[in-house]
Amino acid sequence: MNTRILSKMREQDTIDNLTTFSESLDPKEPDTARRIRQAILEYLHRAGGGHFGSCSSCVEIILALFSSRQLECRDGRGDRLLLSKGHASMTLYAALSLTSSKSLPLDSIGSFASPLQGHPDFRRCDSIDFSFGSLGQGLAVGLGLAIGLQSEGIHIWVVLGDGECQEGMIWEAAMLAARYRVYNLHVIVDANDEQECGWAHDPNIEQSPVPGDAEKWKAFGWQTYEANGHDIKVMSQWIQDSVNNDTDMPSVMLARTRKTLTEFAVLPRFRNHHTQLTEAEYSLIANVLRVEK
Amino acid sequence: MKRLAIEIATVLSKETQKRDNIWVLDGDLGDSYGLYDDNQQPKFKNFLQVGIAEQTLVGTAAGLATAGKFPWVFSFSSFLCHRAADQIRTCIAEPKLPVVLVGSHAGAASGANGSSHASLSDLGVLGAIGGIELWSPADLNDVHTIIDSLLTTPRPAYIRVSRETVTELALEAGQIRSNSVTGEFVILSTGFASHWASEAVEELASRGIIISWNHIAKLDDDLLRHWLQSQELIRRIIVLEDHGVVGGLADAVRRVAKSEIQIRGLCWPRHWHGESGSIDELRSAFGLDTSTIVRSIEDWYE
Repeated sequence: MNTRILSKMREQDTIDNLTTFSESLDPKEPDTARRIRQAILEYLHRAGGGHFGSCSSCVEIILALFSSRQLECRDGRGDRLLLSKGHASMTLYAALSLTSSKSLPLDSIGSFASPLQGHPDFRRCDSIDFSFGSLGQGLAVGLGLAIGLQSEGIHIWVVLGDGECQEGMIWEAAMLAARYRVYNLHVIVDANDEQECGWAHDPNIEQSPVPGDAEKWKAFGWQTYEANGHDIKVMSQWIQDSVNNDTDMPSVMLARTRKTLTEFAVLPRFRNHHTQLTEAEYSLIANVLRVEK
Repeated sequence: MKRLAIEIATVLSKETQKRDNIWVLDGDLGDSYGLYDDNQQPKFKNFLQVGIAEQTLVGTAAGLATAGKFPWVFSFSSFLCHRAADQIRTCIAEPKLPVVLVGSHAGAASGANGSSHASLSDLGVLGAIGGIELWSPADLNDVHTIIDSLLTTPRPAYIRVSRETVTELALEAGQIRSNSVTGEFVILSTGFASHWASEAVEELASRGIIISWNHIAKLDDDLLRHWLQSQELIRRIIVLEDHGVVGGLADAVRRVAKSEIQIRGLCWPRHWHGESGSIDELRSAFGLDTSTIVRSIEDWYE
């Protein structure tokens, strides 16, 4: 594909996207996830690259929370949503911007003086509940918030990456939360089964970011569940059940997800986490996302 | 003789009875600094024993602060400032959350524990991070000043205290406490080392040398700069501190003093991380005992 055609395609995509992205979408609608992936593709590509795969894998997780709970970040009051895997910031920014009355300057992500820092910063953006980027910190912060807001009936939802769960601090906080039976603390692990490098260089080595993750969370005393992390209905049901659960223990959902923007256009393994797309790759993925239902 | 971490816990315990929003968090060392009463119960209404997990200790405090609480975090300085440096940076300093970090066993005095428990770079680490107020009290007078200030206006702060017991300095209260002597030569000291300075000043006086001495309770560049600007006579400064070469009071003085002022630092040597032994043995081994300090001051003074 020559450059002239590519730039024309890009221009058309941009016009489409700018038009559609001004709408307020229903997070429960099945097609909303596709529209958010379009936004992820568009704005990260315009920004010169980003965490396309990591953003894509947690789209339905964020939408399930938006569908199920009143949230401080989206609704101005209610539960807290901590995106501990802060490199997926574009998913949260896009979901907030496309499914609520909030209008965030998506095209400024990662640029100087933008409220939308590359990793979320709650001192620069009112729609963020806490700053993240240094992995492993969200569960402890969530634990403190859950204890501090328990008397107000507020629940805390921490979205972790499965690679992030290699951080020791996650398990410090997991053990402590179960010890104090912090029932209003919930974790959704975006278990996309990949990380930036991992051990892909040697197939003889265990590849999963956290082998036996369900057993580990159970062993730490958490109410542990697994589901397809792209199924908003199932995730939403779990979220409701977790709030209404009559056990007094924290709960975790291991949301099995896919770390690609589309099933049909897969990048090489090492580029799945963070990359810059060529114009050809961008156009291919944009085309797939335009028709993918 | 008082151990200042215990004094902080005692004063804070009284204050928490009047204030519902103060939380005390511990990293499983609370018996070392008086967080528990004689019945092994915490002295605080809102208390969270986090266990041996400094990173989660700081992260959880940040969450509580975000929920509108005012957490006070206790651990040993060495573990708190080094193991949890990243959490202090990203969860406390950057978002400017009102968490107070109390680092006991700061400085070289670790008793029999040895280098792992000494803390000679805590001010360097937190000072380099920035955004955290640095307090280095020497006595109960300082403790009251600090707690009053931080309870009145909660903000990110670190209080470093030695495990050694101390008496009261014979100086008026304040962030910079002077012996009211002025001159072109001045001793500046901070924290536990202000007791070394006190001994040296007393010894020098007995030899007929009356020397200007100021204890610095709060390490703050602007505070130091303004104070130095008000002290027009000063031409030479000797700094005494229970810290390593990098990032302590001497470095702060070098940053803010005019170029014509000469500065010398007396502290623990570079590339030394502490070792077992009494504080007197350590001071003698590294030239920080009173007679060697006095000799160093006399040599330069004359």
